[in-house]
Amino acid sequence: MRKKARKDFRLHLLVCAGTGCAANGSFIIKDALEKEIVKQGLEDEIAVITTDCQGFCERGPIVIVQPDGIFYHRIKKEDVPHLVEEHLFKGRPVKSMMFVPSPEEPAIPRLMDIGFFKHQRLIVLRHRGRLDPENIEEYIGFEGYSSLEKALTRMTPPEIIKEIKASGLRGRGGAGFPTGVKWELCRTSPGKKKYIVCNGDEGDPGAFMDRSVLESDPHTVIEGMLIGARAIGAHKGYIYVRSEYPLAVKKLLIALRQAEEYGLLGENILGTNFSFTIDVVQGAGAFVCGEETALLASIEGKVGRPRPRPPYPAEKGLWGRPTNINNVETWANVPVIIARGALWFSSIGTKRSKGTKIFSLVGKINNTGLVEVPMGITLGQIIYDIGGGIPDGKEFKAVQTGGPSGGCIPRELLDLPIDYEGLSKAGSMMGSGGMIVMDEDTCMVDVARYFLNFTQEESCGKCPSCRLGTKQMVHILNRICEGTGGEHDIAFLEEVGRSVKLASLCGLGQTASNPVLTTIKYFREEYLAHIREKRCPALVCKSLISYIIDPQTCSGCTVCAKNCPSAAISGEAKKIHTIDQTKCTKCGICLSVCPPKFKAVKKTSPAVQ
Amino acid sequence: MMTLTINKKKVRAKKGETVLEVAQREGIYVPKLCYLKGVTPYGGCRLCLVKVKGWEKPVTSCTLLVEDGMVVETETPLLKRLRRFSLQLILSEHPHACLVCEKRIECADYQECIQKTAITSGCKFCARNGNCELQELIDYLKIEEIPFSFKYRNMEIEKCDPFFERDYNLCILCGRCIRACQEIREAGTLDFHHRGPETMVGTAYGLPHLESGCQFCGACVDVCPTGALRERYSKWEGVPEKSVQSTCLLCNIGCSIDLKINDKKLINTTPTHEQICVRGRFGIAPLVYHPKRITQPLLKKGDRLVQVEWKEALAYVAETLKAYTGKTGILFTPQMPVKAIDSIYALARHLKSTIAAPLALDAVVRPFDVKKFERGSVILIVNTDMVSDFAPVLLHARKHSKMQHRIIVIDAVKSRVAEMADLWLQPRPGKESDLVRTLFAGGRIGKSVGVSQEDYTSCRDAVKEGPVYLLFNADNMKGMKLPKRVSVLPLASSINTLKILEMGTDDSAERVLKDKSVDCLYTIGVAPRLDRKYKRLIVQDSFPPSFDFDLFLPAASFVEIDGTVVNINGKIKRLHKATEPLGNSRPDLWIIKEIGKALNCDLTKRTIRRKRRGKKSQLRKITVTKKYPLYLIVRKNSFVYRGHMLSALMKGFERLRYDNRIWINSATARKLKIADGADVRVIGQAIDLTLPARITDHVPPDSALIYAHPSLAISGDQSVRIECIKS
Amino acid sequence: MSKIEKILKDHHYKRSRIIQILQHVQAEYKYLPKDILESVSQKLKMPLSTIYSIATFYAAFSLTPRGKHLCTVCMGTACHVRGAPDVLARIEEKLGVETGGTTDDKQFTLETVNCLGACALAPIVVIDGTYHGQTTVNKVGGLLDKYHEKKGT
Repeated sequence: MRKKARKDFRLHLLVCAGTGCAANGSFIIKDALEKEIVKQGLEDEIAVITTDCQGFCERGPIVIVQPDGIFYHRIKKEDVPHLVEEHLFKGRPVKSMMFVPSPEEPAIPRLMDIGFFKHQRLIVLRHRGRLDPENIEEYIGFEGYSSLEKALTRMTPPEIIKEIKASGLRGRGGAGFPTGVKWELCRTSPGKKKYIVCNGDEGDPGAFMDRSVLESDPHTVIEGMLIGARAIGAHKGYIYVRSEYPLAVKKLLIALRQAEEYGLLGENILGTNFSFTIDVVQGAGAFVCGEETALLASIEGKVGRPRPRPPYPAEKGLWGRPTNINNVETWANVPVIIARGALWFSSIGTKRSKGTKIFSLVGKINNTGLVEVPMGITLGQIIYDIGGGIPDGKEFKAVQTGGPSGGCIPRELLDLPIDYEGLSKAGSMMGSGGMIVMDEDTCMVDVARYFLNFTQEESCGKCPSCRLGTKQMVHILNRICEGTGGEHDIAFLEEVGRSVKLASLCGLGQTASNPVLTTIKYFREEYLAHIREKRCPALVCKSLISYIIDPQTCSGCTVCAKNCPSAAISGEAKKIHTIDQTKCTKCGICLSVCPPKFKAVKKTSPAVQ
Repeated sequence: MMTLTINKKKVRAKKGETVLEVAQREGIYVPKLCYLKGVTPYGGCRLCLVKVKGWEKPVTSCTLLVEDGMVVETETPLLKRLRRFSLQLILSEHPHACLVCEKRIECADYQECIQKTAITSGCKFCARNGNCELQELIDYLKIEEIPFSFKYRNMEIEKCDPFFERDYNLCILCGRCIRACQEIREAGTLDFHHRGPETMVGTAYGLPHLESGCQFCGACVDVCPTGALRERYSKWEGVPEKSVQSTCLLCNIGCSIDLKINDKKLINTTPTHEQICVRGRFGIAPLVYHPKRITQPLLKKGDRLVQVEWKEALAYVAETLKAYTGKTGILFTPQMPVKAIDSIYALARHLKSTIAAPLALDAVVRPFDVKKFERGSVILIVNTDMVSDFAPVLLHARKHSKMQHRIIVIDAVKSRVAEMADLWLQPRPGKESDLVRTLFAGGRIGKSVGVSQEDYTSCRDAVKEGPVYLLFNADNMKGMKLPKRVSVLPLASSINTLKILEMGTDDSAERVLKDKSVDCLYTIGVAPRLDRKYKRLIVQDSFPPSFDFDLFLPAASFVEIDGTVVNINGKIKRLHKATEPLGNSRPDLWIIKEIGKALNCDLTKRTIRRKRRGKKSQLRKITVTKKYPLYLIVRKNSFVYRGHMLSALMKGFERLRYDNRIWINSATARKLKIADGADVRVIGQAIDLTLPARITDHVPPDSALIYAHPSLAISGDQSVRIECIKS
Repeated sequence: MSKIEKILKDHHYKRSRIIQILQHVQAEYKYLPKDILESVSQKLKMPLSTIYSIATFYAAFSLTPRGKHLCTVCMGTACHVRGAPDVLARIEEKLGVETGGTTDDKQFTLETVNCLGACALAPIVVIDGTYHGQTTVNKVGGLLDKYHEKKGT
C-alpha cells in the first residue's frame, strides 16, 4: 500500500528515526515538518516518512529530500518553516543546512556526493534509509525473503553450505572463523535436535552496528537465520540481544510476529517440510556473554561464566545439543550471498577476507557514524576520506579497533589494509568493528587503563589470570597515571600481559591485555613521559596536570571563580585570578567557562625532574 | 579403548575419560586446585594446563577428553611458567607471608614468628596448616615470592553458625564447595555471587547457613583445599595421623565413616565413600569428648556418689541383680554391637527379668537397600523430613530417580522435603495413616482427611502400580496392610532394629516402666523419665540420666570398641576401635560379660524369644476437646544417642533442629500469647510437661509438635492444652 | 493472581527463563526485592543462592531500591575519550553520591553503563530513558535541575 502511495507524491522527506537522530529530536522535526507542510497546503504533494538509521548519526536530526537525494543535517525546529518554504514550496534547496566538509569547502547538496557516503559499499546495510523496519511488506518489496525461497526450494542444505563456504564469509563478531565451515561442523554433528543462535550481545564499547542492523533491518537477520537453520538442520533459533538495546528488541519482536503471520516462521515454511521458530532472549548486562559458551549459559538461565572448549557448541551447545552461533552482521550477510552468489561476494575484499565490514567510526572524528566498507580498505581512507579527519585541527594519534580485546593502531600504520590478518598482525583485532579515533588530547596510558578497568569489571571471575591479572595490571597503570610508576613497570606489564593471554580460559581473558601491549608497543614514549618526567603529554591524567590562570590574559571577569565547585579560585573583579592548587580538584570547569576571548585558564603538565 | 601419549609415555584410556584422570591413574602428577572427583569439571584454577601437540594454546586437562593418538605434555617450561603465574595471582589474595617464607620449615618449632605477619593471616594460625593444598603446590611449583601487590579482603570471619566457620579471606574461588553443595548434595546453599574481582562464594544475601537451608552435611568443608571452610570442633587438632573405617550408629542407615585420629584422640569423622549427614560428620567427636561424659564407675554411698573401682562396681551389680532375680526390668539401647544385645538377652533370661528396647516393635518393615532404588518407582514419604533427617537416602532416591521417580510426601507438617517434593499431600494431623491405607486399599477419601480429591487422585494414580518405597516415621503406621510391591522402611527407628525384631522381646519399654513387679531397673543407654520409685537403679551409660541412681557403669562410646551392627537394610556393618575407651569406661559387651561372669551365667548361648504379643495394638483415636483444644503431633526423634537427645548435649544441634522445643503454629501462638522461646506448660490426659516454645508456620493451625523422647515419657499423638508460664 | 504469579506464568514457570523473569520483576518493582526473590525461589524450586548469584552477576539488576529518577552515564570508549569521566565526576559531586548510589532524598540513582551504542552522541547521559547527547561538565547542573524541578510540581 505504502509503496504505491509513495509514487503519488512529488517529494518525499525521509526523516531519520534511528537512536542517534531520535535522541537529537528527529521526531520533533518530523512533527514540525508535517505541521508546516499542512500550513503551506502541500500535504497532497509531499510525504514525510520516518526511516531507519542513516548511519551519519552525529549529524542528526537528518532529513533527506527524495528523489533528488538532498541531504540536510542538524536541523533545528526553528529552521523548519524556512526549509519548507524555500525548498519544498519554491524549489530552492537551502545551502545553510547542507553538509560542509570544512570551512574552506562549499556545501555538498547530495547525499551520494558526501565523502561519508561516497566511499561506502553497502551489502549488509543495503536497505539503509530505504525501508520501514516495522513493515515486512517493504522488506519483501525489496526482494526480501526471496533468498529464503531460493534456499528452500532450489537448493539442498549441503549446497547452501557449499555456497557460504565458497563465498569466503567469516564471522563478523570476533576472530573471523569461516562461517560455512562452522555450519558444516554443526550440520554433521550427531543429534536430531539442533539450535542456532544469533549473537546480538554487542558488548564492545564503541560498536553499534548490530544494534543498527537489528533496529533498521531485522528481517535480514531473520532471513539469514532461516537459511542457516535450513542448512544446519536446526528447528529452533534464539536471538540474544543485550539489555542496553530495548528498541532493537521491540523492533525484532514486531518483525518476528509479522514473519509468523506471513508463514515465514513456524511450521512448514513456504509450503515445505521445513519448520523453524525464533525466540528473543534479552541479556542483563554482562560483556562476557558475548563469548559463545557464556552466551549459551545465559540463554539457559544461568550465570554467564564461560566453560572450556572443546567440546565446541557445534557438538555440545544449548542444553547439550549441537548449536551454531553467529553474530548479527554475519547472519545479515547470508541472504545477499544466497541471492547474488558466492562468486559475486568473493569478488569483494581481500584474498582471505571477503565482503564488507561495518565499522562504527567514533571518537575524535569529524564524521561520526556507521560505515560499511569493503575489506582491504586502508585505515587512512576510513579516517580521512569517509570520516573527514580529526576535528578542531588536532593531530591524529591512534585508532582503537576491536574493543577491549583489540589494540591501538598508530599513525604509522594508516596505510594498513583492513582485514582479519592485517589487524591481528598489528596487535589488534577486527572484533565487532568499533573504531575509536584518538587525537593528541587522548592519553594512551589512560586508554589502556580504561580498557583494563573495563575487562576487570566484566571478567566473570573464574580464572585467576583474568580476575586478578587484569587487576594487577590496573594497579600498575594507576601507578603510572599517578606519576608513581617505575621504569621496570613497563616490562612487568608486558610480562603479566603475555601470561594473562595464555593462561586464561576464554576470549575475554585471552585478549584482555591487547590494549596494554599495543599501547606499550606503539606509544612507549608516552609511558616513559609519565614515569620519567611525571608528565602526561595529552594532559589527561589528573594527578599529573594542573590548571593555571595566565596573568597576561586574565581580565578578572570572575566567571571561573563563581563556577569553581571547590572554591579554589581567588581574585577580585577586574583583578587577576589565581588557582589554589591545594584546593583544586581538577574538574576542568574553569577551563570550560573561561570566555573564549580571554582563554586565560590553561591546562599544563610540566616535566618534573 | 584408545591410546595416547603423555610425556612420551604411551598410555591407554577409555572414551569419556579426561586427560587429567588418565594422567593420575598412570601416576603422572598434574597440579590442580579446582578439580574435584565426581562433579562437573570447572577449569577455573588453570593449574592443570597441558600442551597438546597440534593445539595452539595450552588447555586444562581436567576438562579435556581423551582422543585416540593425542600427544600430551604436562611439564613444558611454558606450562610451568603459566602455573606459577596463576598460583602467584591466587596468592595475591590469599595471605602468603608464611607460605613463601624461607624459614617456614624451621618455624614449626617456634611459638611465634619474627616475621611481621598479621596474627590472623599466618599459616601457623590456620586450621589447615600442614594439610593445605596451597602449601603443597608452592613446594611443587617452587614459588619463593609473589611479585604482585597483595590484598587482604578483610572480610569478617563467619562464626555465626554451628559446626563450621568460614574465613573467606582464605578462599581461592576454586568452587569445589559450591559444586559439592549443588551437585553432590543437591542442596544449593552455596553459590558464587558477584563477578570479576568482586566474585565471592557464599549464601544468598550472605545469610547465616542456618537461615539458608543448609543441612550442615559438611560436604563443603571436606572439599575445601584451604582453611577457608573449617570444622569448629577439630580446628586446632592438627593433621590426622591415621584413619580408621567404622560405622556411624547415630541412625538406622549405618553409614561408613572414617574416624580421624591424631595423638590417640579422635579429632573428627568424615564420610568413607558416600555422603553422610550432620550427625555423622559433626556429632561424633564432640559426643566422645563431651564434658558431661562420665568415665568412672560411680556408686552411691549414703547420700554421695563415690568413684569406685570396676571390681567393687561389678560386685555390687552382681549382688543386686541376684537379689532381684525375677524383679528386674532391663531397658537397653539398640545403639550397641549385636553381641552386646545377644548377651543382654541371655542375661535377662538368666535373671528372669523383663527386657525391652525403646522401639516401635509392631512396625511393618520390608527392608530394601537405600542405595538402590529401582527405576520407575515412586517414593512415598510419610511423616518423615527426609531433608533434615535422612538426606543421604533422599540423595540416592533422587539420583536413581531423576525423571522416572516421583517423590510424594504425605505429612501434616510442612517439612523441608514437603517443600521440594513433586507432590505434597497435607492431611489433617493424625489422618496420615488413614490416607495411606485408603491409597492402597482403594476407595474415596473422606472429607475429614483434609486432602483435595484432585491431589489424592494424582497420588493414587502414581502409586497404583510398580514399586513403591514407603518411608515413614515408625510410631504412626501400625498394623497396616500393604501390597507386596510396597517396600517399607521405618527410618526413624534406631540401628539394630531388625536385630531386635528378630530376637523378639517381651514388651515395650513403656510397659516395662509401668510394670509394678519390677523393683530393680537396669538401664543401658536409655534415659527414661521415671514416674515411680525403684528399690535399685543401675545405669550403664556415657552420660548421666535425669534421675538419681545407685550405680553408674561408664560405657565406652562406639568409636572405642570393635563389633558389628545391623542396619535397616539388614546389612551387617563393622565397628572398629579407633581409640582406647576414655578414662575408666568399658565397652557395653565387656560390662555385661563381667556381670555374667560374676553371676556364673553363660552368655554365649543365643536366645531367641517368642514375641509374646497380645492383641494388635489399636490406633488410638484422638479427639480435640474444649479442655484439650490442641492436637499434639508426636514425632519420633532420630537425633538421639543412647537415649540422649543430641540437642540436649550439643548446642549446635539445638540451634539447627529446635527439637527440644514444642513447635506451635504461629496463629495459635498469637491467640495464646506465646512468644518464641518462652517456656510453656503442655497438659494432656497423660502428660504434664514444661518446655520452651518454637513459633512456626510449619505446623498446621490449632496444633503443636513435639519430638518424642524417652525422657519426655510421651508417645503417640494426643490432645493437649498449652499454657504460657508467666515469667 | 499476584503480580509475581503472573510474571511466572508468562514464563511458564521455566527455570531457564529466570533472567527474563528477574527482568520483569525489576520492571515491576524497579529493583529486585528480597521477599519477591524468595517467593520466586520457592515457586520455581530453585535455590535462592542461584537466583542471588544471577542477580549479582548481571549488571542490569539492582538489589537495592532505586531513586525516583535513574541517571545513567555511558562510559563507553567513545564517551570516555570525549570526557565522560569528568561528566560522571561532576554528576557524582552534584548529587553527592557515588556511582551505584541513591541520593538521600531518594530522588536520583546514579549508574553507569558500558556502551549504549549511540556513540555519535558521546558523551551521553540518560535520565529516565531520555538520551542527552554531547553532555559537558557545564551542562550537567542544568540537566539535573530540570528533573529536580519536576519533583516540586
